[in-house]
Amino acid sequence: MSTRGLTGRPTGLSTAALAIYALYLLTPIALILIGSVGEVWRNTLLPNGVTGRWFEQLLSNRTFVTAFWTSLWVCGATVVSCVVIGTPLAYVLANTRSRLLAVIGRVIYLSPVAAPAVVLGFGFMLAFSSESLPFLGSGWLMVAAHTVLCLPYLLQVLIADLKLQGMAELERAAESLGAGFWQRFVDIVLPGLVHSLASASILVAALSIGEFQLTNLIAGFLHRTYPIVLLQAFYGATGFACAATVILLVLALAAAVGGALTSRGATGVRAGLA
Amino acid sequence: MTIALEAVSFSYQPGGAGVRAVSMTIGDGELMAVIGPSGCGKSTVLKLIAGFLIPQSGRILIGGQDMGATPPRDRDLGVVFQSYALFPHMSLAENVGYPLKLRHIPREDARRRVDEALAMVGLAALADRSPRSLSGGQQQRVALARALVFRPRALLLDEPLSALDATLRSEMRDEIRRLQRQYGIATLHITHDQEEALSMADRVAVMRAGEVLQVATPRELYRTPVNREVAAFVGHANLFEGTVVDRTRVSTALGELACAPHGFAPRTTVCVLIRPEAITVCRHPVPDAVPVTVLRDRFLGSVRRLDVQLRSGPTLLAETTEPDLDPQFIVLPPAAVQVIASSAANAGSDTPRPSSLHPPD
Repeated sequence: MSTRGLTGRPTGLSTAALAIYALYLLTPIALILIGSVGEVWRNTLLPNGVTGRWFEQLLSNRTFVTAFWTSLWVCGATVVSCVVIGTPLAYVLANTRSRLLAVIGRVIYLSPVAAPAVVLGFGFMLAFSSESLPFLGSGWLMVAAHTVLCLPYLLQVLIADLKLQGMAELERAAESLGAGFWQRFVDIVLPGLVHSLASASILVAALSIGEFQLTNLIAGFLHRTYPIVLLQAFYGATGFACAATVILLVLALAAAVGGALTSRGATGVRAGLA
Repeated sequence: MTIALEAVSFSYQPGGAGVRAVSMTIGDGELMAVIGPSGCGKSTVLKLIAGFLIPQSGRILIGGQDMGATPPRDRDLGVVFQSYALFPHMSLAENVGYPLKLRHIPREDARRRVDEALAMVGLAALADRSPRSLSGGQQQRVALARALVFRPRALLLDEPLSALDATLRSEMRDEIRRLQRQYGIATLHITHDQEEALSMADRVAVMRAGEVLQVATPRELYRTPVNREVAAFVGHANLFEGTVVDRTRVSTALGELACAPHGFAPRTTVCVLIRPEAITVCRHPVPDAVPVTVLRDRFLGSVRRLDVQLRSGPTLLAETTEPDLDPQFIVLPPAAVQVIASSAANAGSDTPRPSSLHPPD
């Protein structure tokens, strides 16, 4: 039986679909990049003139620079928090025989769908604006909120990797060789999770850097992150807004590329090529 | 060091799958294979001995010491897993050296023992390689070296050859047997492959539905299976229901047959076992020969396996070593017609069990 007829048409179709999707995805990004160096852009398809002044203005704007560093430290703290909480949690959920724990694990997985960011934001507003818990607007509350939002994604990556590697069997082997719990965790589990921890951390960083909905509700004025101040930029000059967006785009792209390079598949390809 | 199971029972769920009242002893230096169909409980036996599961009743003794709830890490048993379970982030030398590191063996001594263990399985030159770069057979050798390097009290093999191709499997059987003899270590070998079990083991335990049906040497198991289930599982067999006429005659769908002497009482419902190679296949009529029609003729090199049909209807599996014979008749010598229990339920009362739960002296 020939497979040419079966594989030819879907390949052509999928190439076309991919091209249309790439056009749809890349056109706005291209326009933002062009707009960020455009002199004047009013009611035309493309801006007129070329300039670097929007980036100069951006770098000298204290609000944006502060927001940039706030975003970076919130992102860094969120990654650390997710890794510290998520690694042992993923290990427990992947190994549990308890139905209750398994259900809790599934609820955590589904929480980004079941409880959208805006719902979490209102929850945080209600919980932390009272006199007994007056933390609304603090940077650490923002880290906590981002952790709640990003943790399920980290868990999904880690648990999938634990199962893919057959970690339970590897641990049984280590146990039969004489390893206690901590020896197994340090010698076998953690080294086995290095790749997925790296890619999950970068995923968390990308999510945290770009998070707007929840942060907008709980940020207050002292600790506004970059996406929050970015919104204000769109009320001013188009070129400035585009330049401000390019910064966020570069951060997100760096995270995406980093994630792709640290994923197990990518490292496997590299190993194969070496 | 011996391993003894005394009436060990375990069930994964109340009334569910597991093992029931399993008793067996694996002698020092003995290789015991446990065979049975999927889900019969053979891997559960290994997990119980290894300590991954704790018996709900009964005792497990290793070297005479009751293991109770002793955790796996304190049992000092070498376990080889079906998936090999080599640590992917460690080199071969690190994998093999891991149990020595856990035992705080001095570095120089550990290195010497790792080198010896890898040399023993023919992989000394690959000590710094990653397990991922090895073939299945090589990974299996590393797993064996790792399980033996710390001189365990016993070796447990959980279907270690099932992921290998046929040629390599045969090679690894000899390799495992060689190492096991070299170390003189009590070994439990779980497998679903009867040929593997019969060719490697000193004794074989046949399990079904969580129970041990028979423990015997490969020859005993083949020649005198305790009941129909064992006979059906071990080797090729013609099995018929029969009724005992007297001590040397049995009535079957083939007619009334002269059989090997047995201990069943007249009118007992029994199972009649006729091994294909015990049937005489011939071209010309001889005394007691019955005419047959060949339905299928399989040439297997040293032997031909035939499906033959009697005039009265029943079919039999027969074998001949004559490559050019035109089979027209068969003869069923009385010694070829064995009367055995039809099920485990009536195996013990009427006939002595031709098996031993304990190793021969």
